Amino acid sequence: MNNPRPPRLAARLLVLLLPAPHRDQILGDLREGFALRVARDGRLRPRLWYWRQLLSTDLLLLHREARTTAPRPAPRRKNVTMIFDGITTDLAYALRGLRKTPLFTITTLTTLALGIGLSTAIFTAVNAVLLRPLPYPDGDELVMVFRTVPRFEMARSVASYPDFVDWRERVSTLDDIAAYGYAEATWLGDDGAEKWTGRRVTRNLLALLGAEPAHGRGFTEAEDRAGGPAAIILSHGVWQTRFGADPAILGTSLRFDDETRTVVGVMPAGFAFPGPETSFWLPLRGDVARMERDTNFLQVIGRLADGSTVADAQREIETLAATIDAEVPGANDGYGIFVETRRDFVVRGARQALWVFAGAVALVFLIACSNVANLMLVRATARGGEMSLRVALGAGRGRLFRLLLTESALIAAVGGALGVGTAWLLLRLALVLAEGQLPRSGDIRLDAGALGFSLVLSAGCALVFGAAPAWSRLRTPTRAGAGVSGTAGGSSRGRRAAQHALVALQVALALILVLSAALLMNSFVRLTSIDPGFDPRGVVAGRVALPDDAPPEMDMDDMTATEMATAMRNRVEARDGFVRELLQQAGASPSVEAIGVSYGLPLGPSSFSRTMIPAGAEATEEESPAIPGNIVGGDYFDAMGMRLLAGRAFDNTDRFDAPPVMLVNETLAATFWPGESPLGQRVRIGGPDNPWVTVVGVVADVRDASLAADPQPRYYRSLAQVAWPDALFVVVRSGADTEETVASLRAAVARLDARLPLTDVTTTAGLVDSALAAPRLRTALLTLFGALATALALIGTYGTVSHVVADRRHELGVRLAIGARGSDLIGQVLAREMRPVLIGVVMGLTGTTLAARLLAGFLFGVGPFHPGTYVAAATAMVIVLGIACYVPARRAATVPPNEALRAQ
Amino acid sequence: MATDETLQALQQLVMLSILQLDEEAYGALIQQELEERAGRSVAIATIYVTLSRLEKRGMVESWLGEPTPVRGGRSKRYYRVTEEGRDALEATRSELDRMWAGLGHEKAAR
Repeated sequence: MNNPRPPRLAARLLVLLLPAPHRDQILGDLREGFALRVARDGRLRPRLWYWRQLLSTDLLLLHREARTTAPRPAPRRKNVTMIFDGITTDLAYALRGLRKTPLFTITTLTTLALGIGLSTAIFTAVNAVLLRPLPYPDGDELVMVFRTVPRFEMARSVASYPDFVDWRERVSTLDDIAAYGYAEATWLGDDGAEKWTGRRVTRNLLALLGAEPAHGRGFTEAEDRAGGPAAIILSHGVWQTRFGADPAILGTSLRFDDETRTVVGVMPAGFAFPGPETSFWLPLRGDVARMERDTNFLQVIGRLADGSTVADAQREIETLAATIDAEVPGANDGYGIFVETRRDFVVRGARQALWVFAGAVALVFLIACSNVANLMLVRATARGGEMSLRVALGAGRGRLFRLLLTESALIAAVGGALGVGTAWLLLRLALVLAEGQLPRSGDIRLDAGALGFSLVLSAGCALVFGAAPAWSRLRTPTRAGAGVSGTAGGSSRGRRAAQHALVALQVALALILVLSAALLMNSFVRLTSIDPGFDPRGVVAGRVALPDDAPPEMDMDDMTATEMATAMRNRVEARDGFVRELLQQAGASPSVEAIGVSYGLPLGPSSFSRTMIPAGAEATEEESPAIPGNIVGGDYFDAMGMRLLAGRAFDNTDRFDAPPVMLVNETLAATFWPGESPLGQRVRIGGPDNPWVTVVGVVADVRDASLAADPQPRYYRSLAQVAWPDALFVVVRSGADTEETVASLRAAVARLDARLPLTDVTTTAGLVDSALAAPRLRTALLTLFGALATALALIGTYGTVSHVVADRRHELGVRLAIGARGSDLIGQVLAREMRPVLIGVVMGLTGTTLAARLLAGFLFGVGPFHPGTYVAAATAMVIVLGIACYVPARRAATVPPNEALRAQ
Repeated sequence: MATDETLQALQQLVMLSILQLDEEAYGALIQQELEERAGRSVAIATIYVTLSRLEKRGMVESWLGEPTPVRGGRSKRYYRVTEEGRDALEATRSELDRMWAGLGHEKAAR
């Protein structure tokens, strides 16, 4: 360590950049100085010092100095060093010029950095999420096959095992086809029970995806058969965090609440199918004899055969479904088929939002560019005199062109580098903000593609902003000396027209963004002020799987109806006993105000629908509507803060063998029995052979599906009368804080049965909040873009008007001197300079009517053509930009005439 | 541009550090001297630009020294102030002194 090495990159650059006559001495001096500083200041500061030495602009001066000292190299030859020579001079000149005008430099660089940074960030996101193939070999061949249920408006529904087998046997447009279904397992580890989520998969799934375990093997045929050995494949994450990445895990048995399974494989890191939350895979153990055609639980994925398209597969499987329907009557009644690529399926929710953001960013980028173009124009005119002088002194046009291009290239390069930094920051920020809302967000990172993209943008900027003004300047004939004073630019009229066009463009683009943001903000405010129909404050919910002590599958075929009813009743009573106990234990704390259980939560998981036929309506099951329902127990309605409007809530008399009863919401009552009292009305639920259920109460509507959607009809049944729920949310309204409530709920569950974990713990306020998360993010982002755009347009307009006014200073001075009133002059300037602003506003309003179509899906309570918002945004824009015009106009019109005249 | 007699501040400072260093003056030490004595952090390129200009005006002269390991085996260029340089420094100083004369100690002391 007695001879520390300076930063390698900086040292290399110095070797390149130092002029030969001084190179050795300076490098030696720097090395020595560095060693000395390391001994004195530690490591970091000397490195910074070293870099500062490199970045000193005098390095370029030193080149010139060295050239005048050293004998000139042979006569003018066009060799590499000559070109390099010229470029260093140009660079030196450009650097000096930029340093002399710090305001211009900082404004341009900030604008470019923002524009390029935003564009690169959104490009990276769009590329990673929407464009790049999925991380499987030939991932674009993967397609999903869904059943659709038009009656329930379900575009992507799961399939049954017999359906899957039929497709597998007959399909030819797919090379291979596999299925998977959701699975949960409670692992009984040494430190207590832990619930994992995973998938049951057909044996060929891994091969179809082109994946294989990093350790061990896939499932064998025997393991995939019903009654075969119980096997499990673990995810890399579980293997690492729960088993210390111990390879000896292969072949060991893990205890789960339902079965003991042998670990046969561990998947590689990065394999996350179908999503990152998947911890394990089990064999599906499909069995056509035991799995019924109306038990739909499978997602189906296939790989397109060579030469087949998604449309081919769609047509073929549709035909197949029709054939199956003919063979097995009723098999596919009311169902359709929908095939789409796996990628489209994965990114479906994000596509529109990402394109909207990409559009918004493109607008911001355009505004930024027009701002830079404007600044460059102004600069070019300011230097008109200088350029004319150079031409007069014999500078060639090519030489001047290169000089101007070097300057803009330098700006673009620095702006691009800053832009990449900005993009990196923005992406980190965006990933935090969009957590859980963006599919494939793990794939988003700044990569070579993103760097290439920003490079192309920067190069484009350099060319357009450097070459265009340079070109236009060089084409205009230059009278020697004429422009030296800097005012008589040959193309001042054309230039001013260009500036005004840029202002109009900026205003138009900014207005589109501002209006879009205003529309979204308007929606968001409406969304937050919606009454969700329940009181979300102070409510905690967590899910408990109900212990099932009955044999796993009762063989109902061998039972008489009475035996079956008895078995069912025993089961429900055992379960209700558990629930009562649970409610009592968990509700014992004095801070608990109300406690209940339910199958699903509003704005949350676990919803289901059943067909409903009201008494008197002669509808078949196919024709009757499917109504979403919920199963509730305890004081669920009180705990949720829902309002009972008529009749009664469930009570102890609603037992399993008592007459079946239900509650309905206002919308259902109004739909089925308009103008009548719903109380006492009867419906059949789930089929024409099921018993009549009587309405005993009406509750207020709740926004169940989403805050934005109008309330749907919904019914509620008592848990005591419904046998099938096997897991329930416990809903607690409590005065205590959330953590305390969760802890005591957990403790209560553990006291009852230590094997039962409490999962999906949430607060209803959290549910409302996450329902608002996506619109909030959209609104925030677009508002940010709108604000940026307005700021840029403001700077652009202000700069243009200042420049125009400065140009006319002499003229205005003369007019003031011969008696014009200042206020008249201000009025004239304003009238002229506001014209492009007004044109821009009109263009922006027109543009928004086109752009708003894209937004329509994100709006709530306001149409895309909400006149109030349009008027308000346009007025605000005119006022803000009016001020930007007024300030410089006033300044020019209040200058004493003699001073203005001297400005010449 | 400076005329023959006048010296810019940085040129004076560089020449004075060379004098302070007495026969041992080369880039790294001059830079350090400026930093420690005058409290000015000057980039090495700037120092060489100044030295180069001074040398062209005959105020300083230089010769190549021996390479040392702490410099990564690169040689030093030593600088010395010429008679002409000393005269110019003296002249500048007396010019300044004359201008400062009578301005009072409180102000001049700084």
